[in-house]
Amino acid sequence: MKKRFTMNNNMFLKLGAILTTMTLGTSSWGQSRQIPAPVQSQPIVIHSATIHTVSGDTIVNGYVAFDQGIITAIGQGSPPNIRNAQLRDATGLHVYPGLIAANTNLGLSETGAVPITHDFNEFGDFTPETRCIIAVNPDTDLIPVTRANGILTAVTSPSGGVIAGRNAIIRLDGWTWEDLAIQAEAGLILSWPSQRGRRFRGFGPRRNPEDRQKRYREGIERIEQFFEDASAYLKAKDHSDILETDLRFEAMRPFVMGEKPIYVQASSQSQIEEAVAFAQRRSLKIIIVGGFEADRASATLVKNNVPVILNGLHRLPSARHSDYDEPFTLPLRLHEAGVKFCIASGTGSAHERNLNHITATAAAYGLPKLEALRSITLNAAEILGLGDTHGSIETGKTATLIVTTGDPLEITTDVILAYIDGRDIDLGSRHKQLFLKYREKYKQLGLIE
Amino acid sequence: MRYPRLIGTMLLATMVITPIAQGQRGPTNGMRETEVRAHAIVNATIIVRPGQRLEGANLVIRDGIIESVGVDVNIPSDAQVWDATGLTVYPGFIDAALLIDPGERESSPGAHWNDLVHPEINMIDQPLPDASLREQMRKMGFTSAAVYPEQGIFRGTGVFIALADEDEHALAYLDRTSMAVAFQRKRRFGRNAYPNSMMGAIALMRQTLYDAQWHEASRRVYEQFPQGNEPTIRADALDALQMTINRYQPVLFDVSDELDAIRASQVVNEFDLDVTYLGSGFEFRRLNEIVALNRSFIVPLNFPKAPEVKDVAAAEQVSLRELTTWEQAPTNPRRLIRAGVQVALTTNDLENRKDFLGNLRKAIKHDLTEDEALASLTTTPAAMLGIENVLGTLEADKVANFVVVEGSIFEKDSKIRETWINGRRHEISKAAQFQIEGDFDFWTNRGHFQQATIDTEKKSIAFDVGEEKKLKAKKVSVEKDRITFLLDGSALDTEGIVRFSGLIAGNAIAGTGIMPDGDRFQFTFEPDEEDEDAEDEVAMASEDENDDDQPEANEETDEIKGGPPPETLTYPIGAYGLEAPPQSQNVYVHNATIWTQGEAGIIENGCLVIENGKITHVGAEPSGGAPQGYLVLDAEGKHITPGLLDCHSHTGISGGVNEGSHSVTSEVRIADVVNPDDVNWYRQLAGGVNCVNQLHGSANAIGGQNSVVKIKWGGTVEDMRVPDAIAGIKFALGENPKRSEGRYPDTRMGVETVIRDAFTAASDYKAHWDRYLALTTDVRERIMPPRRDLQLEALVEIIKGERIIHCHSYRQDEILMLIRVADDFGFTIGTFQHVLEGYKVADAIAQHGAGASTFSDWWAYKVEVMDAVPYNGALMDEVGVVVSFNSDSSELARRMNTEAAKAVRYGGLDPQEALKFVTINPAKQLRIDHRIGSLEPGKDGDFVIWSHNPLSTYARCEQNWIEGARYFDLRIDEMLRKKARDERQRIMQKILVQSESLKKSEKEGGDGPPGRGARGQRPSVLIQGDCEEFVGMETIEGAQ
Repeated sequence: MKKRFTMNNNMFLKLGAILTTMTLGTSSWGQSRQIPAPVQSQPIVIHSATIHTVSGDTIVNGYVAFDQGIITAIGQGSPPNIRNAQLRDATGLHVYPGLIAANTNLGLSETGAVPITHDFNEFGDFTPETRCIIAVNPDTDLIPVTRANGILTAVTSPSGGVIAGRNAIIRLDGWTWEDLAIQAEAGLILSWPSQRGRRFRGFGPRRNPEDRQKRYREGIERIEQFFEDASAYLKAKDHSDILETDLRFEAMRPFVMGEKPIYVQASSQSQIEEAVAFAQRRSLKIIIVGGFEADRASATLVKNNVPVILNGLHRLPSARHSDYDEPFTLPLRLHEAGVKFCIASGTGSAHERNLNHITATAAAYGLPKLEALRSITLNAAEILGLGDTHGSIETGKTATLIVTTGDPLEITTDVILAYIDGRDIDLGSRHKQLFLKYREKYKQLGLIE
Repeated sequence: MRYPRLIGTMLLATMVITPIAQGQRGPTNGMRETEVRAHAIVNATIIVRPGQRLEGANLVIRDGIIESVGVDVNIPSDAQVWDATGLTVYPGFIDAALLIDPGERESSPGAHWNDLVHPEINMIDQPLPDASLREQMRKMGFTSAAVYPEQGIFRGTGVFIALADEDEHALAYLDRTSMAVAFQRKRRFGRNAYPNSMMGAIALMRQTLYDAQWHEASRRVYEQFPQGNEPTIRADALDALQMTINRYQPVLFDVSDELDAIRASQVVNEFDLDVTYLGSGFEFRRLNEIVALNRSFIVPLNFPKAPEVKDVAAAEQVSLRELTTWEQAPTNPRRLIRAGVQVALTTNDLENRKDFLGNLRKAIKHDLTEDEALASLTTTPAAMLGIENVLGTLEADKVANFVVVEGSIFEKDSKIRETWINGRRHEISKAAQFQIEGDFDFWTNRGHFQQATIDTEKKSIAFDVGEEKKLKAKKVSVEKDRITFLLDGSALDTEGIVRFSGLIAGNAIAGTGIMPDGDRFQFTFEPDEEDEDAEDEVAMASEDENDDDQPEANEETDEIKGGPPPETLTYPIGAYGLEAPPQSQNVYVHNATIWTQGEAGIIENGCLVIENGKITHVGAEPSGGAPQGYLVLDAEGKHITPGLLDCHSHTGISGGVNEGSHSVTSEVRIADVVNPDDVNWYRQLAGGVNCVNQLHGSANAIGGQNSVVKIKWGGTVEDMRVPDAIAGIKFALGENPKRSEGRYPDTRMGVETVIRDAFTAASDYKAHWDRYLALTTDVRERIMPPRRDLQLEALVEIIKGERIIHCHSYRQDEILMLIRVADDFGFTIGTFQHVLEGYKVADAIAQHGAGASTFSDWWAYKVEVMDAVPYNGALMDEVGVVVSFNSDSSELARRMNTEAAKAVRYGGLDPQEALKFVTINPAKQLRIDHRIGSLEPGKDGDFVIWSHNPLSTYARCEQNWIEGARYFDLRIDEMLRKKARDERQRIMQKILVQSESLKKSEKEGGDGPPGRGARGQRPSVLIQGDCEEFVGMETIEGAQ
């Protein structure tokens, strides 16, 4: 064979791991064959690695120890002697916190063109009573594929209508949706009305501006009314024994009370500004999702301390005359303006695995590399309310971390090991299985070694 | 264009003494009526022709013909004399292409199979344009028009008629003008929708012209040798095209935009047609190419409405292209004329036809001279129609078509009074003889007396009822000399409404009134001679009243509010356009890490030398350093790669990516519809791509022919083409082609048989031709020739190995199927596209010799891609397939370098090998690896300078060069951004300044986009994301 391959040790290490899963045979789609990991049964110490804590200094020749799913020690040089600990030599490798995908519908959709596999959009425009966690398929093929690139935590959300329902924050490994749930009913999904006139597949006339504006205002009015009705109901319910129960409004309680965040999908400057003003008036806690013009609304966002989940960078500029890199430089502009943000892939869940590569584009176009990394780790955790447990390598935080061959924002970097709450995760996937299966074919034919 | 056969008849007709076509009319049944047909328009200003003006001249006409014109012309004693003191007489305007809809057509046994092909329609047989349309045209000074059907690809033959009021006077000057054609497509889907793309319309036009040639040849054979030959079938459409294909009848090519005109010229040249273009009004956007066509243009004055810029958010979406088009459109006729194009103006395409004269004045304000304007409405259209000896000027023996105007027709406050057609007078507006204005004394025979102010033109009568109060008359109506109005009784000391009806005579009004109780009385208004001062007051009052009109008066000044538009235009129009395309330079790049992608591998600290667009050196720095005059680029710390190739793109395709109506459309060609103005080209240059394979979509088993272009932004389509790339064609297997409803195939089984059937037909076709061509000339003359079939021809080229298939495919079964079909017909497939299960049959693909152009890591968007794996590329490569990664997306195409990196990540390819997936491998797949794809001496100087290792996600393309010319550079980009920002602000300011003064006229207009009205066509719109993998794209981009 020519010098076509640079199959390094890590590759073999990985292949070995995968081969063990091969014995289970290939799967039919929608039913992953990766076995969820057991709870951490003994302390683990990863040593001789570069530890990228994200929250603090990067430690060269460092170690990280964790037990019962919690990080117990971090340091440089020789690891402490921990009884019964499993030692993992990670010389030349890097440790990062597990990456966080802040906007997906993982487990809610298997195949794009097959609507019967979709479980993210319930009938009706206002369906706060729905919660997507119970529809998350733990055996979806999409999870192992995503996980293999170091994404270990995800927000999975319903969509459609005005209030689509309640989303969930999940760990990407487990037997049941209850195992997956970190926060089962994390936030409420609200789509702010749009002023943009959209054309069906690019054909037909756009609505005229007055008409669009009118519909926009009507849309906002419907939201105001729904929140008004919910508040009135909740107040009455608290002071009445005879009022009948309304499950829609009951579901609204923590959000109307400002206890849990509302994920508001808003992209244009006016959408964002008006959504923030709406939240202020009603003392709601909101997170902006989308945020393509968040830089123009940065003053409002900073003043009101509203964070943004930037939904993807890999899109065409908004107008013909826009800078070609307008979407790529947006994170830099937000960073400079002091807006708290994290970056989501914006790709659809099948391609969620590219989250880190998409985020790298922000760094290629000016965002400091560490900020880019933070935007899919610690910043994301903080925005999602996981700041105390996830997003960085710190003592006391959950041991959700990855061991890589290098910078996880580089496509060419491999993820060698992954731990979720200290559990040793199978990085195999349908893709690797099929790859190995057909390598066998060509080996049998003598075409490859 | 000329009509040699018809002019003779025309001239004879003018010399006939008795009224024309008298035999056609029946005998008089009752009393005969006599019409005086000798007239003298005297004491007029006469514009004989553009540039020739006579003052105080007379125009004598007789029997519809000009008898004499001049200052000292005698007035014949039998002529009716019309005093034209103070009036100006212009030659009647000619609309050289007035489009009308002839309505539903009955199908005939000789009709063409496609209902857009009906050249047999002859407008002489169709109803005349509506009387109301003719009247509307006359009101704008038009006296004649060539009338054409407005729908269809081959629309039919026009007729050139007088725009007289009576049908019987709307004579045809020419009963047969041009054959009207256009690239019109159907705006629907399904099996009867062919063509529903522009390329389909072009293909159908081409095939029909070949069919017309074939039909004629067959008919000739049959006429000479009826024995032993079957008669030709009845083919009215093909018969109707005989004059056209033999250049006896010119073609009027209706084009929807400037690029369409350039495209049309290819068909025109292929068939050597005698063409005049019916343009779009946007010719200025590609002026140089339009001028180079060296053809006449009939252009509309459809100036777009100013884009909405008042709303800050809406303004954000208004592109510089829209703004510039708005600003520059009024310069279009002038730019064309000054560049030497023969230009006639037409009233077509206006949202409201009556805006024509207003827009003409706007064009004049934008430096079109009045003589140029007049010529483009008189002598030029007459010349285009070949009747300049009969129409177009006011000279003796010409047709008496003229316009009588109060003031200059090119100025706003002028008034068209009469339009004369064939010597018959059509009154447009009343002379001022019955208009009175001023202060009057009002008397009645009941003893009433009031002062009143009257302005009949404004239909205003105000009675002075004392104490500075005025009482206005209501419902004032003036019909010729009859004036009627209502007045509140209080003015005449009564209650109720008093009715008045009088006649204007001289400077007074006299008539009858009816009191509320029914009593009749007489009244008069007589001029108030005494009070001189009153007139001033009136003048002031009316000035106040006119406040609203004040801004319009501003429009009268020659100045353009907000400043004149800049003279220099960019290509393309809009942001990032260039005044001239980048020029090739001799370049010397050194201190770089060079990824040659050839035998030399990666050269550290290397030097790349380009001379006359070709690479002359790659390697260590030559001892002499840079030759004299070379541009030296120090690329220290930078990486250099060949320009990236994208082997599957739908960027820059006008009028639809799919001709999805038929299951086989090998006759359509992407090369016909390349759009060089798509801004995504520029964006892709900024991502390091500079050569792409533009493919037809995947709606049908056998799609259209491909196009390979280099992204020479700012250049022409011809500049962009890569002629030495092998001809290709798109095929598609699996879900997409079987998805179309109501059409074979519905299954993968059917996809195979459609393909086998097509190739079988192609083999038979080839055999027919081979047999025919093997015959002696003598024999060939006696038998019917085979028909040329562009669909099968393309398939024959595949069988002969002259054209390669790029086949959309997913599953291993279908991949293997096509390989076996190809084996059976003895050809090699070019590439499998997408080929996501290619890794399952890589051995078969490699053995067959096909390439594989795949996505790096797409999957899960539909059922047939559930086994897609990102290791696909690497595994196929390992087994020996030539593999490339493609984008199939105008967005993803901007990052092909990091797509390549995924072959390192998934499958562990060596980085150089991975980068081959977007450089030399796609070049091999397109058979242009002898020219591009690697940096080696003798190859094209196409290279990219990267900030980092090109496989790094942190890498940015800093410069992108094609053949030694710099097409992208971050520093130039910075300048272009600034220019776009500044220009947008300048033009938006101009719109705001003008909208302040033009509130009123803005209100009149709708909110429509700039472009054409209901003509079955629209300007090509830049819509992308029109991706064949529609479903796939949704999954990728639409994460909600």
